[in-house]
Amino acid sequence: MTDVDTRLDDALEDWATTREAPPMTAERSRAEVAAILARRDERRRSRPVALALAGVAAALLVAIGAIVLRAPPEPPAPEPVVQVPPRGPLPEIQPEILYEEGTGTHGLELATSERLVAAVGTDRIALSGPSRVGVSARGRETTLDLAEGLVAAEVASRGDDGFFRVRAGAVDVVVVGTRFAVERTGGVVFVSVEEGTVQVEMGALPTRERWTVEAGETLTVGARVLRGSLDAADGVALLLRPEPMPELEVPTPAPRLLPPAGPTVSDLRSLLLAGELDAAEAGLADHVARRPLDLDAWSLLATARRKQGDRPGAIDALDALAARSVGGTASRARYEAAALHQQLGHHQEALALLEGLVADPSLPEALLPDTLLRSGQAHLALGRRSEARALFELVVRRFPGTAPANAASQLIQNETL
Amino acid sequence: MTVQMTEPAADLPSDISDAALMQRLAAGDTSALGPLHRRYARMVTSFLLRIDPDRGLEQAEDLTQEVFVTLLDTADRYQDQQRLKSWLCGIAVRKARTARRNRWTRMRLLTREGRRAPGMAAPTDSGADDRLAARRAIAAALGELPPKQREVIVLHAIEGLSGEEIAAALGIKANAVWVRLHRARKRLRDRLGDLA
Repeated sequence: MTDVDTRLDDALEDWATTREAPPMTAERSRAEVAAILARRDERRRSRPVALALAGVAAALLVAIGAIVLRAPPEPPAPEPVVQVPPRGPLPEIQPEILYEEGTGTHGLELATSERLVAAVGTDRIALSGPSRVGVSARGRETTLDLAEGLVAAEVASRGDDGFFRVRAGAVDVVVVGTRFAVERTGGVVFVSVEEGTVQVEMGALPTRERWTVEAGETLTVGARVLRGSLDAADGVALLLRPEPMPELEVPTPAPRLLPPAGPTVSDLRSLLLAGELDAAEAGLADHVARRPLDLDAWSLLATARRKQGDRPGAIDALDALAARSVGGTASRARYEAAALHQQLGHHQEALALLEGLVADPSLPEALLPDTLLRSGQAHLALGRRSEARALFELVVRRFPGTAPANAASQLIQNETL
Repeated sequence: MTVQMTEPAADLPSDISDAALMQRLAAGDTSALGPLHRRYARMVTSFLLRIDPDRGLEQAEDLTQEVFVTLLDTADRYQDQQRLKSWLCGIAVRKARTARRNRWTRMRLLTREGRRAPGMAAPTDSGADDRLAARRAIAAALGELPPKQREVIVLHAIEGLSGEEIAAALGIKANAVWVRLHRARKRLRDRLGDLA
């Protein structure tokens, strides 16, 4: 270290004395520790989201239909790509069911509450109803055309020999050898990779866009493309698990279309509008357990719970909705969750959501004034008066004449900020 | 190990080691938090004040609470061979970065409106004496450093952590620490001129 550096360090140390926190007395420390423990407890209470998602995933697997195709033996690969769990006593169907000569494709349609596990050559696929998929398999070339729903696959390594591809509308997921899942709902495609790597492609040449998704990652392709990490609740391996579950009902071997089970979302919405809150809530909870990607159902479930006065339950539903959607739907769900957190006095949680929303370009413009107002209110509740005042002033200045601006103005006066 | 979750244990010896306290914390004995808080809360708050010269005491204390909440939640991941001070600094750096991002969002909105964000120190030229002026210059120069360089130089020059400890705290390689440190010193020297 040079003399100059030494002098610099001395100057820094001298400056550091001006940024020294006041001494911590024993009494003050006790109060702080109590606050820390309370803060942690409150956070734990308000975060049952992971459990809720795990519950959704478990419920997804409750109903199973299982079919196994006899496959020709695969020459041993140098390293197995995945550890396939031992297979249970599953019925077998003949290959021609999935290998329809002539067209080369076969359509599968699963209704709600069904799961189908099938071997396609040396690969294994699982469909979770409601799903519609076309399977085209010739030798080592397999294409799944996913019109709707969720397909998971465990694909043997191919190298240059053939390919395995999932088409979900404009999005192609190309696989070399891996365990992964593709879920399509409306215009959104969700890809999660548990092992190996997949390439996601979209658009026409020469401007075709490509993303590589590694193990443990997810990619959501919708209005925006979002990367994420794989949650245990996504459970590709769980979905592929072939052993029978307690509620297993093995259907007739051939895939078939079943009438949808239970009331439709439209029926449940009518129940909700008619004020039958308990019935609507129970039906919607059951529905999202079977169809976790039905965003309308999550939104209605949140409404039902809010009307029942179950705010934590409504927050859970909104969190699930936000996690499964993108753009305005997700930001609106977060906004509503933040409002409920504030009603519950969870100001820290509300603030975290609101601050994220202010920076989120997908937040509907109409919600911005109220989002800023609520941020200010959360700061105020947490005792940060200067931050609160700055936000209130901002709302008054930027959105004059609006209800949030009037409320902000009132708060500045009433709180003598 | 089974430890009761009770009020601060008066029977905890005052010289009990950090590692032993962390072990108790990992086992669910929250009474171990008190002694750790008394030992390190002031250090954490001071550190948070230094790595963001614009941050006020109230905000730093709020973040300090967050640091200790995370300490509680991650106690089982603490490894004895790591100094607790550097472990806490690592948590504090991450909390500070999150807070900085949130703050940046608000500041962006506010500066769009042509005013400064609350708590942001306004420049002043009232130099009462040389020492005060030097401190102000240091604060200004530190404030202009990229946050990652500022974190490293504060951890090294002020908090006295070694390169390896900083690397462990920030989750980066030791080489990256030295590179950041070198760049931070160079920028400060260039900015401070004769003062350094």
